Amino acid sequence: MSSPVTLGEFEQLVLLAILRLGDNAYGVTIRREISKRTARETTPGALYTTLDRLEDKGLLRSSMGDPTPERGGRAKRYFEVTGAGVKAVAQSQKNYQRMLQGLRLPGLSNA
Amino acid sequence: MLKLRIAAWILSLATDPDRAATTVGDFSEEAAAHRGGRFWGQLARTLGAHITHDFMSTPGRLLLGLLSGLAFGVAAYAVILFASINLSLRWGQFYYSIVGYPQAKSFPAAPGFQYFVIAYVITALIAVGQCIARVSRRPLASWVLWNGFCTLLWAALALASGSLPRYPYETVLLVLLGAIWERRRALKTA
Repeated sequence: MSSPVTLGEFEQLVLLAILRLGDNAYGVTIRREISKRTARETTPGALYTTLDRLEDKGLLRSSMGDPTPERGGRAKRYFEVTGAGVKAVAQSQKNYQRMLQGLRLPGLSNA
Repeated sequence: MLKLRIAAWILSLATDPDRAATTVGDFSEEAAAHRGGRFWGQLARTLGAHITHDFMSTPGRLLLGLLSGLAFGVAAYAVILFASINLSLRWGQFYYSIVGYPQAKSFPAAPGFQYFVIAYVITALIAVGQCIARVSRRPLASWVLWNGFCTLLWAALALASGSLPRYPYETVLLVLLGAIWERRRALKTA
């Protein structure tokens, strides 16, 4: 039996952002999505190393798009969450929910 | 654009060339949206993050790179020492006519020999840089480790001798040149 993949908080945010963005998930949009939803400024270094790490773990896969002039002819690297990635993020969220059960925290209605 | 090519190549010293190229494309898109100013700052921070990540995720590979570089360097010095001793023993007259006699006030006397030794040392150090970059697959992180090793060695020498020796910055720079040279192919694809 393989040990479950544990995800850090930022890794979960990145996976959830990619799931939300669907077919348009690449570096710029992922950063924007995280920033918009969490009001948290993501440093590019943290994002790109996390994306590489998640891809190396097999939780993400990437594919190259077409080069565009506004990007100086550079292609976009689109990300997609793999089945293992979906399972890992779901498991992490379940763990959070279990830990929250019975707790009263400000701003959380379902606690 | 030359700026993007240079940026992609710099970033490829710390990550895969394909990833570096797409990341630079993202920076370019963001810089255009924010009317510039962020591009090089983002590149520097991402480069730093990749180097830190390499130290955290692949310390063994980086250490292996360092050890291979050290072994290569020692072997290179051993070769010239062995060749020099052999030459002096077998063809002493010929050897000393080139190098000069050890008893002479200015040994080695022949400038050609000095240039040969300098060229050999430069080549060996560049090759050490290539070696650490090839083995670790992370040129910048392995060079940072090499730099740390040289600093430790330098500090140990300073402690042992009680005086401050000159920092071997030429060594460090030549090894960096070798490490960068190893990634020259990435420049073509950047």
